[in-house]
Amino acid sequence: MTIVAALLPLSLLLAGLAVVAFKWAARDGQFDDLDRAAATPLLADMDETPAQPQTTENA
Amino acid sequence: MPAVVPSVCVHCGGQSDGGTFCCSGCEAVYHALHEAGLAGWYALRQRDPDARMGQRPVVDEHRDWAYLDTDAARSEHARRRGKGFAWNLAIGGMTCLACAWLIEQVVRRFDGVADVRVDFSRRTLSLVVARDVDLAPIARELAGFGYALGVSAEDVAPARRRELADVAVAGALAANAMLMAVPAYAGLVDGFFATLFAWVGALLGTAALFGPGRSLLVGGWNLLRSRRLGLDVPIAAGLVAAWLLSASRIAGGATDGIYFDSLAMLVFTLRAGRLVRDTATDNALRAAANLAARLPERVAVWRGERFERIAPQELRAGDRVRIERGQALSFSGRLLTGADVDLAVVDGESRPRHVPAGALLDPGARAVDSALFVEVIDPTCRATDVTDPTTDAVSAVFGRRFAIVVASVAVGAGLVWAVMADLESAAAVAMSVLIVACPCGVALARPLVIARTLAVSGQVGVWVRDPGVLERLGDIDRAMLDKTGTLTAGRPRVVDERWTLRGSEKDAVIAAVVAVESAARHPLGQAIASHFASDTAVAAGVTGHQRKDLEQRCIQPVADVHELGNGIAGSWRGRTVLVTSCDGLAALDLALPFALQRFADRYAGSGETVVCIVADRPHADRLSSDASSSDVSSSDASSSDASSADASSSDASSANPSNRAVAAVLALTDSLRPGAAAAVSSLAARGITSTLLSGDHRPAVREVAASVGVPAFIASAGPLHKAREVAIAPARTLVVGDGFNDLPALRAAAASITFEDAAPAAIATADVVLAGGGLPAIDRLLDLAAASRRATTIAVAWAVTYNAVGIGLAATGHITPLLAAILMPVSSLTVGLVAVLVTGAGVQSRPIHSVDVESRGDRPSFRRGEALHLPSSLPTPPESRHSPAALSRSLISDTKP
Repeated sequence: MTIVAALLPLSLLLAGLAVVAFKWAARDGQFDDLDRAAATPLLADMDETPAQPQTTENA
Repeated sequence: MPAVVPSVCVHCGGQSDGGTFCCSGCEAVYHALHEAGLAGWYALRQRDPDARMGQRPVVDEHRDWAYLDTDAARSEHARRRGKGFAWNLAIGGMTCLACAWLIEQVVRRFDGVADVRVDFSRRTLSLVVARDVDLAPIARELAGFGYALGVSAEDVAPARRRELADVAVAGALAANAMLMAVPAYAGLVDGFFATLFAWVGALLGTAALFGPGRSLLVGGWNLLRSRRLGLDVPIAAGLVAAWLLSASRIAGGATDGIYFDSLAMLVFTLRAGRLVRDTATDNALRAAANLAARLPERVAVWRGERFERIAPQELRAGDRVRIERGQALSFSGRLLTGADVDLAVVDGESRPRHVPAGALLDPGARAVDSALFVEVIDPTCRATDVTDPTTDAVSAVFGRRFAIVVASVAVGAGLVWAVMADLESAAAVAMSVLIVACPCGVALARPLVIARTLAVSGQVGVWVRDPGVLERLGDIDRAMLDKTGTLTAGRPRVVDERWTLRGSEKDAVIAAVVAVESAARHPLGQAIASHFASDTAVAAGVTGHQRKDLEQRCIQPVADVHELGNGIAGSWRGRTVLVTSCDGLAALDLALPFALQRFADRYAGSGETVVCIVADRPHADRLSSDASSSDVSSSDASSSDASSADASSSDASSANPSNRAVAAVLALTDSLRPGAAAAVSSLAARGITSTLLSGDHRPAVREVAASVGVPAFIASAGPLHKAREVAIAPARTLVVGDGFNDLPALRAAAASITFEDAAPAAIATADVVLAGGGLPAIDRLLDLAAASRRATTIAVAWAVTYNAVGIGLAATGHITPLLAAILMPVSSLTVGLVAVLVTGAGVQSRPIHSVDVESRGDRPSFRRGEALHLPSSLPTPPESRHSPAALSRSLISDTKP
């Protein structure tokens, strides 16, 4: 049971670290635009393949 | 050209009435994208299932972009970042995620742009530019692709970030406080560890109350201090009571009877619920605001030797001001030179009129084909209404009654216990009544109902700027509907035409008419241009880009336009055409042939607008050379208007009129918005009496009233007249309007609705903006409002039941911390859940038909992944974008922490 005395501060410390990390991410604006993040791979695709010729783009 | 099934616009995917493009705007953007090598946008858009199809690019190319490079704009909207500026700008016209990509591509191509980021959800563009980089060219370039750059309203992002961080802290504290309490509840610990856990739990609970929970306490305190009672008062009282009771017990050495875990959990759920509501409100407000990404208006005022641009607030009576074509007056003034003025927003008359020098103009009068020179009489600017979206009438009313009941029960129970037992247990009972009575169920349910309603209504293209309107709509039994731009589209279109020419002759004249009218801002001119544009003009090689050139070079505003009535003349490829109202023909010594005269009379008799096209005969060399020699007189050079008008009017009178002949007569009408009649009848079905209120003349109003089935109408009603009609019973009145002339009425009414293409001031005033859905969305809005009221009622009933039981237990001394720890979160969550389910049920019980119908017509949109070759009449299944899964996904995306 005495191990609890050591585990208790440790668990609180870990929780505190998680909170600090989350706060940093929130303040950094990482949760601002959740729609855009989901589409990032698609948009990155487009950057690699340059504009397609006019005749094929509606095909 | 790609093979395209007629009637789907290649660019926007909307209905195009048989052509490749639905409008010249789409065509211009289509060519601009290909020329810039950015046509990949089309492929990318196909991947976005939520892309809005059929939205035409509408950007006023004469916007005051130069404002962005003034010191005033920099100091107000940019921050210094290193050696440059960091801007956060609003961007209008985005329809899909591909637009975010496109905008970033376009902006990155400019030198000196260090960092570009488009926030799609917030519709903002953040960019960092070097100090010497001007934003105006960037804004102009984006306008070419159909995006409007504006200054953003207050940036709420930092506030939301803080709120999110608070919720995270509260969540962590609540979870750990609960962890500390569980061993004690389970009877697993005693002695030293029981004390240790109790004290750690106390620390965590205290941190939750005075950290993330402080805003709840402050809210209650502020209400008390202003001598009001609201939902926040019993909440704050409950939290404080729980803390005091627990703190006194733990200080006395007890390890039971403490509420710190419940306390932390309450703080977490309440803060999370508010974050959800605030995010949903933000989204709705932002979407409504950025529909018209705005630049502050500036006017050109004469300062001795040149015009200077200043803010309208700085205008003084007596200033002489130039109003550019397309701009509207924000003040009242006296016209210095006679000109055509669009008074549609002032008196509802849909056709611009010639106004003589010296006449008085009211705010909202708009310059048509040439600039207006106006002396300011009254510079008063209209004030924009500011609505506070966080005030919630329901919470306020319910909270007041609730607080009174709870306070009396707590005091009463305390007194009874003080008499029957001792003072200590009396205090404990009074405290536990306050704790258990904490109306967290309602406090959580109400924000969730609002958030859910806003998210769902946003999906069907209804942007609720003021959530309080959902409640007020319950009392509505009369509706005041505007005509022009509300029941009608406000965009005339050609319904019939009769020609005296045929074959290549006719084609040449049509091409010239398109070229000339493409440059016109006159709504009739634009209607004529887009009527012919899609077929003949494309064949004749008038592309969007050439049209821009034409606008700059070729168009010569007709000099004797005032003698002719309304009209425009110009020449293109050696052809001079004049488009004018048929009344003006006599002044030209022209008469309509008998057949055309009958045609014209027939349409004029039924309320349509009739327009004549006059063309020079072939080989009329003198006239065409005449016109080309004055090519350089740009229609924008308005300051030289007066002199050039004199010069060319003498030209015109000296020209041989017999060279001209009537080529065609066109009949135009302003069509009803789709679903106008259905909207009126659905209002009637709900027991709401509609009245048509219009500034237009009687026959036109009567015609529209009859065709949509409105029982009563009032014609020739000015802005104040409209407001007076509303003021008869403002609390029971819904106003639907779109113009400056509707502003007083929109403000006066309990509920007001406008459209995304309305005057910006109307968007800033109305409670609700209809974006995608158009008029049919009013029905959806009323459904949603009813569903949200029903959900609120049910949530309140549940919460009252819970609290009545809980208060009963507490008053008789049966409440324990364990019971509270279970009862409070369970009651909050069930009430919240019930609220959301009931709101959702009201939404999904009816098929969503209006969703895919864009506001500008019953335009079929096509499904994601389908090529443009599909028949355009294919109806989009409602479930493709608005399945329950999609709805819940959208809710989740709105509720993510």
